[in-house]
Amino acid sequence: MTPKPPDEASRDLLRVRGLHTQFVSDRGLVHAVNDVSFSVRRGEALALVGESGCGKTATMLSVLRLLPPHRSRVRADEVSYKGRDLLGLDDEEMRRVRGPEIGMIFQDPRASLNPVLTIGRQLTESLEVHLRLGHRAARDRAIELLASVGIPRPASRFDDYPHQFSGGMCQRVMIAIALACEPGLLIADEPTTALDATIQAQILDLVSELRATREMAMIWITHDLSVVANLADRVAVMYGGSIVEMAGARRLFDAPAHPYTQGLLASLPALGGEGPGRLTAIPGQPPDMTRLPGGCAFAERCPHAFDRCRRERPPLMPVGKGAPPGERRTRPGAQMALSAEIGARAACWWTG
Amino acid sequence: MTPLLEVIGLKKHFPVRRGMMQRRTGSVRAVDGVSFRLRRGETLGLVGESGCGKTTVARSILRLTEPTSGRIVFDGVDLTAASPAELRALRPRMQMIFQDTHSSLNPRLSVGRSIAEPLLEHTDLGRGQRQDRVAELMSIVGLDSKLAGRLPHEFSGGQRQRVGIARALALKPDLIVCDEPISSLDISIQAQIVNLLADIQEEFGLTYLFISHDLRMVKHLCDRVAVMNEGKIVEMAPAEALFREPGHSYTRALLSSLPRRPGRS
Repeated sequence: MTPKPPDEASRDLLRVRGLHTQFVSDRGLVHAVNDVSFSVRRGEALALVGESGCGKTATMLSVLRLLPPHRSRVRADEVSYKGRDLLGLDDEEMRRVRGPEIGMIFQDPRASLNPVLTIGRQLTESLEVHLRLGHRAARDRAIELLASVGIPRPASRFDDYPHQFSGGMCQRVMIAIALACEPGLLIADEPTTALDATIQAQILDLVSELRATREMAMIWITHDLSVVANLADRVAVMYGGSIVEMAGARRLFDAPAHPYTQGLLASLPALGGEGPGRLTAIPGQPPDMTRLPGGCAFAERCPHAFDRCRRERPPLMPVGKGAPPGERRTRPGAQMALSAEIGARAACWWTG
Repeated sequence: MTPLLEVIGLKKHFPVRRGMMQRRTGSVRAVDGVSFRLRRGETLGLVGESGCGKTTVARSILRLTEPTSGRIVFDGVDLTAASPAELRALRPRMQMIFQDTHSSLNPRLSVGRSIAEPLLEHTDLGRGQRQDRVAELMSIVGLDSKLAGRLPHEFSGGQRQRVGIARALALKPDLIVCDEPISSLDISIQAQIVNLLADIQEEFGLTYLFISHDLRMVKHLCDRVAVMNEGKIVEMAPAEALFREPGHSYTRALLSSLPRRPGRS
């Protein structure tokens, strides 16, 4: 490995390069993740956005080594956390990374909590195991954590079981558990999808606040673009198992470069302004991940696709600085955002 | 003009039973005095968070659940007092589109057969006529009629929802209750289905009760919106006005929880 300049190496908390993940399914080999590379810096919030089956969850499960080994194949040029190679760790070492180093929150809090253990026990368990706190100290810390995620009367809820909590409260408990060991990185997979809108807003506020106070980095996996707009510093858009666009959050929404990102943003109804009309829908359907095309996975649905798109899969390339396609030429605000943001990349022959 | 549907003081209470003897210890007021009117050709949005009673309202209208009290008047006929024969005659005119296309289509029936089922039940069309009608319905919803022999699992979520819509259209209904019809679909597919719903409404003069928690889609699709909270309608207004100036504090809370619109606003 070539030595990196020390400042750059220390800024990257998590580095993933050339990740490929495949699953065995009844329908054949699923090419879930295809050559995915990204990094997360200390304190940074990266959103991984895409629709179901695009490979965003598989990417994170690969990084955390939580995929069943006999049914999946993961290979990568690099998966490292604080410079440590995660793929080379044995199972025991990896367990000490998950939790204390990298915290996790999953979509369905009820499925992730043990129904026969009290909330308090599930919290103190990780505190005792990972932080080696004594019984009393763990209890006090746990109650503190429950209070910090906004559980009312935490001391009296300590001995309650998960079924005595609502979905939103369960997700708060999951966040408390994930934060218990003060991880440097929190990975959240669709953590608010199953929650009501008002609860979702509360959880997002809570996470933003915790991130600010703890300088915790975060990977937020979601299909909901509007959540991303409020939360993320940087956004990676996935389609067909690959990252098709990577840009600062502002830039991505002001001036999407990849035709897929453009299509998604255009298909959302606007809240203000015009009344009923037709939405600009993306035609066709997401690709069959067992039979991905040789070229760009989006080519079949893309209004701009030409020969090369069907022949050759485009890598992530820097987006042209001056005049990217579409509406952004006409919007002065977008131009300002453009110059403020460098390093936006898209996997597209048409944009590039 | 008389409204197509009028719901008056609808209540649905579910008993809460406790203990070994399952004694009734109280009741959950899932729907607690809901009233509204639906004009012909109109789309009324029913929004609220899970557990607010919106699905119970829908199920009561279609008589999938027996209301505790209140009246439901469809085209001048009080459904709560109607005879079984009257109900059966009205049934084809009210249809429902469901959220979960996995559980709302019979996995063992070909999609063509699923679409044909209401025709078998409620019409005396011959086999050939039924097949023609199924092909016509499939083309209306944008499906290739050559796929009629396939099973639901061979279709994507968006295509299965198209099948559900075709089946709901089979008997030429006046009212379609759409219960979260897009919330289980991929984002890049949602706009396709919303456009389809708008197209068939225009073509067939349909009236929609559109139940959703997606406020953006509700604003896009609905003429008026009723906001439900804890079994009651707390606010009802034209969509434009409701989003511009929400009157009730709960509506304001719901709207303020909407993240800022990415991109154009």
